[in-house]
Amino acid sequence: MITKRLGQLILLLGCLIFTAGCWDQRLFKEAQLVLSGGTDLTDSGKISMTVSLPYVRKSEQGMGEESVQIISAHGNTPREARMNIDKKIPGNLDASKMKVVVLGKKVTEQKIYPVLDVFYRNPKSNLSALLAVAEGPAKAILSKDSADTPKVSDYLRNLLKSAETSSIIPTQNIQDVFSVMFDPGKDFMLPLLSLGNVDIENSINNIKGLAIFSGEQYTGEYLTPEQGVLFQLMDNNKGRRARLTKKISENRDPEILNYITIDVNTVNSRMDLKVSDNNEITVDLTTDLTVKAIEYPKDQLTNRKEFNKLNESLSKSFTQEADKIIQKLQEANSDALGIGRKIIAFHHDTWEALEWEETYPEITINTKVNVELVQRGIIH
Amino acid sequence: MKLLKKFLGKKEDNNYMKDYRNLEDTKQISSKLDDNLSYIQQKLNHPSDLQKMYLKDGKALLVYLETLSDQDKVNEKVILPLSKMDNNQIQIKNMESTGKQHTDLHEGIKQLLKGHALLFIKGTPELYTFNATAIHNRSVDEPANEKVVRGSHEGFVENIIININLIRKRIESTDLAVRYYKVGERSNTNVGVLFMQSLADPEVVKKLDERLKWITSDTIISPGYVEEFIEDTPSSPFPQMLNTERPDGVMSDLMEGRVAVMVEGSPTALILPVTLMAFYQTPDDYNGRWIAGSYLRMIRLLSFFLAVTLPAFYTAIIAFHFEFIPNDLVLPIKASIDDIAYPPILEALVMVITIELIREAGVRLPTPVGQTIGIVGGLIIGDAVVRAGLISNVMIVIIATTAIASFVVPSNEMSTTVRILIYPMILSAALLGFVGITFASMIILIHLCKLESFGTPYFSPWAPLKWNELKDTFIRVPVWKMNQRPSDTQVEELNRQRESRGWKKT
Repeated sequence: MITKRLGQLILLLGCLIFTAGCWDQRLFKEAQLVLSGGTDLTDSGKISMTVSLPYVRKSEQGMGEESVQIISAHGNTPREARMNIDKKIPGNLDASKMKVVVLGKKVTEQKIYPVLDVFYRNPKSNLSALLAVAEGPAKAILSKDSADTPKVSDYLRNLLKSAETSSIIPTQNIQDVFSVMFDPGKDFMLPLLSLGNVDIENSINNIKGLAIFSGEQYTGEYLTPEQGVLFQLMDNNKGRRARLTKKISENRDPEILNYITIDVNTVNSRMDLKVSDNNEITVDLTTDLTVKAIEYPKDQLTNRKEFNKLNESLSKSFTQEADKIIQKLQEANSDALGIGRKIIAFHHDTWEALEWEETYPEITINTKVNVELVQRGIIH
Repeated sequence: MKLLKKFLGKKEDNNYMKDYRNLEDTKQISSKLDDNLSYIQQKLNHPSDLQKMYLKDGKALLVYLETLSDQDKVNEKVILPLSKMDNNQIQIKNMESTGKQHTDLHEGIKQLLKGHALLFIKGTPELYTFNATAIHNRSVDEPANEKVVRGSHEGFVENIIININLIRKRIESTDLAVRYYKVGERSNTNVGVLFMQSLADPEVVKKLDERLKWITSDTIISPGYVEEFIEDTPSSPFPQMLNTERPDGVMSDLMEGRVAVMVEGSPTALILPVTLMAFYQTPDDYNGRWIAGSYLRMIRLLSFFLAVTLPAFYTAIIAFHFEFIPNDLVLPIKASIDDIAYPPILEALVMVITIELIREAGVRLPTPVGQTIGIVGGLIIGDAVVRAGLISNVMIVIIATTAIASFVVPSNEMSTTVRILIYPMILSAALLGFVGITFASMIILIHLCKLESFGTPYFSPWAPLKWNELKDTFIRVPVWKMNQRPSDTQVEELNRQRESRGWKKT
């Protein structure tokens, strides 16, 4: 009797494992990984999605040849476009190892959240993927393979990561963008990718600058990489390295003597917000930089007078540059510095009384960049 | 559990061995020599190795078992002294090594079975026993399965007397209690129980005494038998007693208030009660300095987690959560598993079982053949199986690491336990991914918390958590910091030293 019961119990447990088992597994070997993807808008207003699919063959010693396939498909929504891609390929499309997402210019001119919704809704999607804007269609960026790195996803990711390191673009992934996207007091900027050369043969993917967004939309304006670095400094957001080359004089010969290249050691940026009784807003943005000279052929840094003059001229030209950036941002109506955020926090009544989108371009923003040269290089 | 107990239920029948307990009563010694001889021969089923010798013109009879007794000792102790005596006057009391006098023939037979020689004198109802036991022992070599780099290289042997001698030499104390038990109703095996009277918990000693007396088996072949008869939870995969062949290990355990059980004929001592941690400590930890000891201890504990969870972890990742794979490893791993025909669980199980086959084949074979099996199994199968596309090479790496990690455990019993635990872990990982691993680990942890060894918590000092006893777990703090014994044994005297480094550095 007991033996029989025991037998039944074991049979039951066995059945449990062998019948129910593994129903929700998703096997890695059956997945078709998507390492980078791009979204475009067709002329008829449909979504066109492009993905890069890596293929590797096994060889005797580990990994063999790699190849990348670029596939596009249309659909009314990104999800539908993705389903249509899935129809064209063997295996199940899986975006959980997505490295880079590129948005075509046309898509970004509309609100971008609807296009990105698919990433935020699926728990398996990779929220640490990097987001970038293409100067033209995203498909062109993804289809451009360089001879050395066949994987366009790796190429783009490394490109963006190194730009983060040199403070050209802020360190942000899809998740970070999401939290700023619906913040009324702050706007974001995305790296702008460009093929650079009109001649398609010699062109190569590069970072053209920072695309300025207002709300969820791309304004068409962008900061150059040099302006990008200065903006990160003003935003107290220095990457591992911030390096700038500046022209400090006009009349020296040869031309190279007119320039200095500096590395920023420390940055301290302060935002002073003044709100008058009639809700007039003035912002004083002071950025203190300590820098070291890493290239200055003219030298003469041992001369105290020359040294002070250099500090002054650097401060002056950086302040001018900063003014240009602020002007650009205000024209594009992009509050990338998060001034609105401060007003919400410290002057809430003012915030309630104002229509920020209309007020922001009108407010006064005074910038001041103070440069202090602290290291001259090892020999001098 | 009750179901299982009923299923395996014990049959009550104590009569089946009555005939063989026939030395319990007493038997008068006959004054006729031949009567005694024939009685002995009958009792011992007419053994061919029974040597009988009439001495002194048939006035004395010497009986001994030639296979048990040493011929030289018999000569020296009995025959030579007797030959010097007058035939009519046999004075046993005048001999150099006086024999013990007995009046019970059954007692004499018991002594005979120990290798003593029996001497009967015509006309007297008594016998004399002379200790002439032959001793054939191997030397107290270091046990091959518990080698240490530094420290004592002595090991127990198959003779319980020598084993206890090794302990007594280490603990010169009146406090060391030694108790003999006769276990095995037919084999009459000597079982020794050792403990420190003032340290060991009397409750444990009492429990052990009771359980040993309960053993009704007719043979005790090894401590493994005793272990199974007296352990608390037979259905647990975890060993609840520590097996060791090292006298220094036994000594330190005795000093922590634990009890050692030794069995005649086996070089293994059972230590009880023990905690899980005991299986991960080796004398090497204490022979070296504390930093090295702590480092090795951490490596060993890491190996425990690796051995139990690594294949399960990998299976869960490639079957459920491949977003865990680092970016740069995605494509290499993908390349290696893309063309594998079987699901990850089969891959893992096949490889684990293959390793077990190689191990099991190698254990009992002579060394040259064993090595060949290792090479054929490990290298050739490992390589060919990847080329054939049956198993991915990442899986080979995982399983090989696991196998090595499982052999890091100093105790063979615990190593087997760890290797058995791999299976439920892999199975649950393949069923439910990380959730499955979590469930399986939880069940194992719950079981560990619940498990007891002779009434002491097995998972101590983690559960119940005792902060100041963790100093001999993940790390091994300097000896002079360990002023107290672990309290899991309910030790009678907790302090084992005062300040030992009170001196001033000058």
